[in-house]
Amino acid sequence: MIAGLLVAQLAAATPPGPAEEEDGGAVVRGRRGASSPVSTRVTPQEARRYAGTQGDVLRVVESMPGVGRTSFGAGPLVLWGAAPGTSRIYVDGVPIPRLFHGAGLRSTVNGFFVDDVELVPGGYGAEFGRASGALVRIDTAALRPGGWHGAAQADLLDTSVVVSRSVGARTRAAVGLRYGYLADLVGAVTDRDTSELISLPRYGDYQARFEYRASPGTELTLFAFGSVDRLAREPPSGDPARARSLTQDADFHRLTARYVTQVDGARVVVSPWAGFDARARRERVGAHPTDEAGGAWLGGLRASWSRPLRAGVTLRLGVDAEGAVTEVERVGSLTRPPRDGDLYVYGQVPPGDARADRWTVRTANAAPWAEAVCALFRNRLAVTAGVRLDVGLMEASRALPPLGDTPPRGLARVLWSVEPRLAVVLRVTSRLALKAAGGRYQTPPSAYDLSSVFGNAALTGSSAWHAVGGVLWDVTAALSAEVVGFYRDETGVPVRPATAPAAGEALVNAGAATAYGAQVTVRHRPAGRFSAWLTYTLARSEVRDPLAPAGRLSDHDQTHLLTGVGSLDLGRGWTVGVRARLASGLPRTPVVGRTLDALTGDYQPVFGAPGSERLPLFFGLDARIDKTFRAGGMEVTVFADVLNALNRPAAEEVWYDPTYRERRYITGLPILADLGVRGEW
Amino acid sequence: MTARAVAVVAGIAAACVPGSELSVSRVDAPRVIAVRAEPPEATPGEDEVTWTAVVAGPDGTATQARIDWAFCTRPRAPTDATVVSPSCAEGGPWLVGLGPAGLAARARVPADACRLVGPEAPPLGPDRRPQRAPDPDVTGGYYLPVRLAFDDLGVYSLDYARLRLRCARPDLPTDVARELGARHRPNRNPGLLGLTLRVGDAEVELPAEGAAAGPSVRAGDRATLVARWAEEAAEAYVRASFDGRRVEEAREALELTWFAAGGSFERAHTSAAPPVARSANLLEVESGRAAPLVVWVVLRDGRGGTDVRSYRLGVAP
Repeated sequence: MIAGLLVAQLAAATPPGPAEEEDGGAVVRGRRGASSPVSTRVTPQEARRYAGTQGDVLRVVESMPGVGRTSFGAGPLVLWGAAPGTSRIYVDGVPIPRLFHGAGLRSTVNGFFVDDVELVPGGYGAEFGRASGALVRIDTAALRPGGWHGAAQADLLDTSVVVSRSVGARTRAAVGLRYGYLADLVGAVTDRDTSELISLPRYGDYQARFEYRASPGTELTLFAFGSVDRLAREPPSGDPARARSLTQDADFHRLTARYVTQVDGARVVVSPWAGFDARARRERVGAHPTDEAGGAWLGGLRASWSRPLRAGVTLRLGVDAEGAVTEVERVGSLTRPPRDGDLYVYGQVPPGDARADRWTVRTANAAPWAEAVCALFRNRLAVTAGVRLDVGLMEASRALPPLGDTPPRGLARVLWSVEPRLAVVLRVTSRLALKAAGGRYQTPPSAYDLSSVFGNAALTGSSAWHAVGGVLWDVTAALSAEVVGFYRDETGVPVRPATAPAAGEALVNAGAATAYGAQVTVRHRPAGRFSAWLTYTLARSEVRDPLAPAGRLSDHDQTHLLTGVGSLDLGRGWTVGVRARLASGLPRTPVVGRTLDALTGDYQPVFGAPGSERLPLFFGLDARIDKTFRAGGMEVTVFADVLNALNRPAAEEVWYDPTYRERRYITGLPILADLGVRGEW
Repeated sequence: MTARAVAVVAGIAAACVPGSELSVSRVDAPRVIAVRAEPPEATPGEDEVTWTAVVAGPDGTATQARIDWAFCTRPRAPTDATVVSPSCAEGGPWLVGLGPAGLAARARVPADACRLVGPEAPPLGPDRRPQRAPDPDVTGGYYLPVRLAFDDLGVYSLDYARLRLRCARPDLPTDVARELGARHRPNRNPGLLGLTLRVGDAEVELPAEGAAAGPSVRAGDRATLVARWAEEAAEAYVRASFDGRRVEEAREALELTWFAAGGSFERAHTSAAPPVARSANLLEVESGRAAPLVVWVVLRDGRGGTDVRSYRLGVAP
């Protein structure tokens, strides 16, 4: 099957391969070209062997070059210092809102369906847009032919089952289901106080897939998948008037269709999709509510046409259209939950003000794009030049906050962006390649920021220029070393205004974000019994906004990131894996004083210079051992995955006592062992 | 907890938050613990208000202290992270002094307070565009900050009282604003009725601070104290809903804050919902203490109404 397709890391900007080829009855899915000369790709077979993944293919993303470390309980990915909202995750070209279930315990898409994971930190081509940060691309795998197949995994976190079936030579179908029960397990074996202190989500995900091969080269795939997360926390409180509670829900559902065919030598792909996203966060601190709940109906169409024009030149044309209707309700203070750069300390009592808003945002975007891929000088030089025109209509239900008897007035706008893209790969020798990429990228405004009360209905998107370049040296067929430099300059970032805002402008497009750095990666591809990579990223992520016009560190800055992963096949089915990570602590703003608010009896913090201190350096070591054997017709893997094997709980946050005179660190997980078994047939 | 056998569970359970309220209740240095305004709600340009600060110290309530009082007319920007503008801590024309330094101050509320820190149309911004008015708090109130610069007894601190303002609501639909005005009742300070020491099934009344005698506990002991107030102290009131579209009825949530010189309380704050009008807390007396304790109880109604009492609790050798 796809075992022969190992890693296509750092592949040159090559034209996409054929969609699929029949190979003696086995279907071999053609591997598409890399999205950027600096992307990193990993296959499921390799990903599962690394420590820290608990057999979850997509969790390998956490260990990839340039990926910031996220603390337990915080899921969004930070790639090369880009704010989480500026990066996108795609499954077969369809955007999804999150890669991991709450607390980052498990990915939202079952690894059984995954063919390839690609991390694209910058400099990607014209086919994708609406993300001024990075991309994570997940390609799904064709179902296996011939009768029944499937996989099941159970461990202390969850259980998942996938079953697939071929019906005749043309039709295949599969269904999968996962349920996470760690929260139930903790609740069952701990007392109520303990279980209410910790934030563990109940989660689940599902997949259903149908494939029909009309003829060689022509295929229709329907894929429905989704994810559900529920989290509730209510720490015990001696004073009902100060009781805290938090609930968070996050769901997404997608139905995608993908039609691939060949027309006059051109490869045509058409992918309509639809979906629904919902998220809700409801927090109470005494009488102070902080609620935000929204739902979005989404739809889109991605289509592409690709054809070699003449030797060495391939033309690709396509369109990437999306639309959404988003309804949001929000109640609480403007400053809760905090945004990047807000002065805030963990546990701080909300300032007490409260407003409410309910708004609707309708968007429709279409982005035609074109790309020419040229292989010159006997394929020594590959140049990919493209352009993308993103045109959209955005309508917000209310332009200004309610004022007296003034009737509401909506706001409709046309937003557009021209985005040139370029990628160049020069093969200096058969083992040495120089590469560079860049272009213009944009992130449209979030519907959640388009409230006339809490945000600004007139926000526009932020746009960024990327420039990346590097050297790849294939030391041997399996061993490579790469050095990459990157620079991203983003303007128009939505931020808080410096002074009392004008009516309806609680956010303004006055921020600028810059991320730059260098990255060194040494990788041993999975050849023989060993696979590993060691990567170090030196990066700075800085923000300039009206509150810090001279610049400050982004809340997501992790200047130093060092990650090493390795896996060794010991023979006789035994495999060991290890992951070591070292990361700078996140910037924090110190508290340098306190004042009593005599109205409430609470102390208020007096803040020092924004972002002028950091959480302590993180170092973590994870280990894994597994044994694979055959039982009947099934391949069974029993594994033990130990997180934080050195039992060094990381400092995840700064905690101050209620008078802001004492401070300590809130620590993360101590040693955590996950035992599980996986069967595949 | 019975989770030791399950490593994964124990691991996650340990990833929790440290907690401590001792630092709030223990009085080990002079500090302002409460400010009582009379009346607690005022109409700008009309009402005169008297503020009295309560300074607690290891030796009891201070009878004299140098506190400079000032209105801070700089509004808190909706994007500020704290309850008053950080500018209030700095000198500037927005600070309006309230007379000579001392434990108390008296002043008339500025006539333009509702325009400066309330819902009336605020002054135009630097770019001559209308600014966003401050948002009300969860009780529908707008507040004028009163800064207390406490510089005495070896201590310097900046603290804030906030005076609830009675303002018109031009930001609301006319019918909502009209109903709100018609049903409005000015807030009043709540009143504490007393503090008792629980001894077995009985409760013994504690005398006020400065009394010569009264009930006592042993050093190092834990004692339950019960504060009482009149049930009607939790006033009913009306407020605009958060979205401003209707008038809601609400009732004050009374909360106690506990302080002790010579001990600390298990909880810094306690509360009770009507019709319950009493609340208990556990006092841990310092071991080795020989002198009587001073206990302060602050009762707040969440809308600026405050009462403060201090009591004597003897310590037996």
